[in-house]
Amino acid sequence: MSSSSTTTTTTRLLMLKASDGVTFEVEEAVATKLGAINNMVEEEGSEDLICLPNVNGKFLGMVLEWCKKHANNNTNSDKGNDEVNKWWDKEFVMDLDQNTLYHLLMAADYLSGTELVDLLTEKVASMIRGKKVEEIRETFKIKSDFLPGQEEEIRKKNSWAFE
Amino acid sequence: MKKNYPTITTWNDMPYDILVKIFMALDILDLVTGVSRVCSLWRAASYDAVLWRRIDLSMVRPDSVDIPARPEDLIEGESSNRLMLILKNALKLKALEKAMMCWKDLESLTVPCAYAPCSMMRAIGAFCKNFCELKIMCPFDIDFAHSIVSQAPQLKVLSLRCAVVFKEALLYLLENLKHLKVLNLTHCLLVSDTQEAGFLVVYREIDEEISENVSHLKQLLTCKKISCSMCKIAVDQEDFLKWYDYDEGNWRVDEIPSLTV
Repeated sequence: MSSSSTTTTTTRLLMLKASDGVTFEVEEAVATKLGAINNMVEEEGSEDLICLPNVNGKFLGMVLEWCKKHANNNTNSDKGNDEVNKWWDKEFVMDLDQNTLYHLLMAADYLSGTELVDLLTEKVASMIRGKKVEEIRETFKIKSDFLPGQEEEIRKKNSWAFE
Repeated sequence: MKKNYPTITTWNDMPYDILVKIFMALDILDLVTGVSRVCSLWRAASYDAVLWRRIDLSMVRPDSVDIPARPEDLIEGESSNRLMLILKNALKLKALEKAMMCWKDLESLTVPCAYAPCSMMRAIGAFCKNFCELKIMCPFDIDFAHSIVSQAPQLKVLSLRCAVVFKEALLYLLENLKHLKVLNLTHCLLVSDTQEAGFLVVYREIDEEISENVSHLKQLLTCKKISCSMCKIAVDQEDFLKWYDYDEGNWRVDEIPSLTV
């Protein structure tokens, strides 16, 4: 709502600064796809430089890439665009390795990019579905921290589901 | 299992809230047999009450030999006060009784197909005092109506969508179930058991006798049976209801929003 700039057609540009100093210049309409940025813009109003000390430049870049795609496609909303977005999302998460996926999910969650969080959590869920415990640990490089007897105890307890 | 992973084991530090969000997209089998056994953090997150408010057992195959013997394991640590259960041939009666004993907070139950609905209602009546919402697709006859009235007198919402509904049973229910507020009769087949002839009379619409008795309901959901396309699919030429043919998508839908799963 700030009336500082000249006309209504020019969109305001925001500078986003990542933890490693990398900066991104993005249109306000793109950045406000993220709840956290949206809140900052509404609260502070005039501030054009936003520092994000918890997000690394690589992942902030990826989050913004997603925002840009979805902000653009939302402007001319029709059914076909929905399909395009879905297809694009599918491509976006397809080849993410679990390390990138982890950091991207953390970044999206920190920036309150709800739709992106949904997309990424679904991707993680799809990597879990139907897998055995050992396979899940292998996929996500998780080390069991159960005490020696504990795991066997849990196993016994849930045995009805395994037989 | 005793492999030494590199030190960047980031998934061990995944915040609890995000883990819960991820687990929301999983079904019960994955929760119980998979994630709950990965590590202590994942185990704790898999027990979050949010994940157990609605328990969908429909993926448990009816023909599997190992029908859960200990359904109470499903809710260990569960403390939510609104619980919705979806069963599809999943539990044997004994297991169901055991389950109800544990699911004291059960408020809503969806059963696309039940072979012993009266026994099921007995188990609910005995243990689930907050029970108020039922969706069931088995034939609704006078015995079943009696058991609902006696075992779940506090029932508020009932969906008999796509079921065979005996008129006598319906009239009995409407007269005796005082707290009933919402009744869904969409796509059901209304029949009447005529004693003298020993055959069933099929109704195409809700008749006067029924509509005179629904005044205390907040909402009665019906369809125009003669022109309803769903009813045409559901009922064959001999007026048999093919509700058992209904696919996944159909039984999960309901005109009552809280029952859409």
